[in-house]
Amino acid sequence: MKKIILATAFFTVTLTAQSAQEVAKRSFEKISGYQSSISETTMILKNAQGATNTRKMRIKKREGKDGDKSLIVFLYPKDIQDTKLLSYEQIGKDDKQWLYLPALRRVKRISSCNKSGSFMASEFSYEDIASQNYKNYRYKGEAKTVRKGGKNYFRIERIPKDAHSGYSRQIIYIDPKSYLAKEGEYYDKRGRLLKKVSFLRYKRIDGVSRIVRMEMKNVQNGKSTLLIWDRDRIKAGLSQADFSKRVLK
Amino acid sequence: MRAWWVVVLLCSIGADAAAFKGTVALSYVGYEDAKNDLRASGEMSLALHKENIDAEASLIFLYSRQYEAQRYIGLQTLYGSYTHDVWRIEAGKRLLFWGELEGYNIADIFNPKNYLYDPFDQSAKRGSWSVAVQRYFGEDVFEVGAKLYEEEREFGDVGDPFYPLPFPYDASLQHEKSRYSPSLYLSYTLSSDVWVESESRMILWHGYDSKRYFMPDSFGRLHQYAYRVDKVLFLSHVVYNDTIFKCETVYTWVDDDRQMSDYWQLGIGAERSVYDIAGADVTVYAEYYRYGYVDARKAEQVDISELYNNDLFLAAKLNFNDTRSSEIKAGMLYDFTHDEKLFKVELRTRVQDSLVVEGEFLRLIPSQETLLGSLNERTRLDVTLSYSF
Repeated sequence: MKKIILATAFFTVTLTAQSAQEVAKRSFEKISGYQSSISETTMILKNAQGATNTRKMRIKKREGKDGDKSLIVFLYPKDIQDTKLLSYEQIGKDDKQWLYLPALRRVKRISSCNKSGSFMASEFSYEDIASQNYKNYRYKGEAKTVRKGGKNYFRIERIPKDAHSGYSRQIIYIDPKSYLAKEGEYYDKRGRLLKKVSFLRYKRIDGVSRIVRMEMKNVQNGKSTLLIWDRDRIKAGLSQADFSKRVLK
Repeated sequence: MRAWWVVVLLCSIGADAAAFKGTVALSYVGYEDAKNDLRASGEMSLALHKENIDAEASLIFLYSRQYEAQRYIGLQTLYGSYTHDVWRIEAGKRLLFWGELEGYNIADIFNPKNYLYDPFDQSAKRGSWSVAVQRYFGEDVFEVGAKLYEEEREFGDVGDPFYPLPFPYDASLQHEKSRYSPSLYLSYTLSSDVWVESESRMILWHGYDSKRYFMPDSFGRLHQYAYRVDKVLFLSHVVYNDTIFKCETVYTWVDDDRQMSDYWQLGIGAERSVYDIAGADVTVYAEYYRYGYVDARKAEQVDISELYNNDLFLAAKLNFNDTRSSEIKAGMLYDFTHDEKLFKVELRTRVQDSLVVEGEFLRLIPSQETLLGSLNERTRLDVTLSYSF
């Protein structure tokens, strides 16, 4: 019994001794190291009445010291097939984004400040689907241990550094064993709860934790979006040239 | 046509990836003074990929129940490309876009506009037979290319609501040299992050002008006359915070034509987006176009007015970000010189994943002195249901 008490006490001390930033960094490290990836995803958009619409896309990503690069190719519905979105994340600066419109054969630069805008009419904004690099946020104090739904979590509060973010703050619940984010609450600029995110399932690929299923619920308008990774390959050998503007054509 | 599809299917057997895409649309077009119309239109394309080789073929068609001129089926694109390291070669019937602005692209001279589909849709174009070689230097691109053939342009018949000319028109093209005489271009695109983020492109063009003038024949029918020019085109955009500033300029030297003067064109504009206003995104556009002859007296005999001269374009796009991807676009074009106005409103929403409904209202208030004044119809309402597969 003494051992259990001691172990519990030690575990509690370990849980509470870390700063929010340390926990966020460790959590980010768990999902980092994929180098580059190619995945196919399905996005199910649900409106407040429960009617659904489906989107499918192929996502290529490449890790970078100053920010990740990504190329999203829309596959479904067919009328937007081959539309491409190329994004260069720039930590501490506005991202760069280009959209390729196949019907017009046009590559169009889109505004750098497109953080809070909806991604493909979903409840995910552009900043939600960008890399969740811990350096993009400021943190408050220590990670608190809380009990939620019968489980223990680290609760950290982070504030987006980007002035164009649609959020005033975010609360993230992190599993203390795996250091993977499990749930989150995102607050709008007025401080009201806007969205709840659930990271429903992860899988390990080559030592890297990869999200398989996540859901974003907008508590203000009743809409939700489920994002499912149907296929995922990491360390895919993608080079800088795979994210050059020329791949848009 | 069947033989062509057999060739395409045989090619697709050896490909690593083949993607077929098609859209069919049914439109009701209501006019104020002309007979209302029911139109079927669509596009089908097949794209193939094998290692460094890509190929695409596409067909477009239009069938109007009321207006014979709007009945066609044609090859829109048929091209192949080969990419090796920093080089890319592309040849065939291609569609290109040269431009930065939204309302009207002065620099988009490569492909002929498809006036039969819609004279007010700048994006309605036909493919052109051509060849190009591109060399990439990081994000910068050098390109040399040739357009191999000058196409005729159809406008329909006198009495059609979309017919823009005051006299009967014969589409057979009159030209200075052979219509197979190629038009050549050199282009360099430069991206920069110094001071502000920008991308600029300069294109040098030698060959037939995209602008043509009209000459009457002995039967009083108008013909288009294609003359040869040297052009320099400059396109640029600059990103500053959440605003994108854009510019397109063209200077044209006319080669030895007795009727047409050298001329210049300018288009400048800005685009600004505001995101997440009660869940919706709003983008506003403001653009201004100017055009001038170096020797206006020389061009007097053939000038049939330039639509985009001293014109202001104002537009807004409201994207609702709902599950149906609904959006509204509204815009106006105002000509300061002739006090001409053009208003257009477009709505789009998704009924099901593959089914889209679009509505469009167009109202034209022209001056009698300009080309728009000859247009038979000034009000148009268009409702389209399209299915993609």
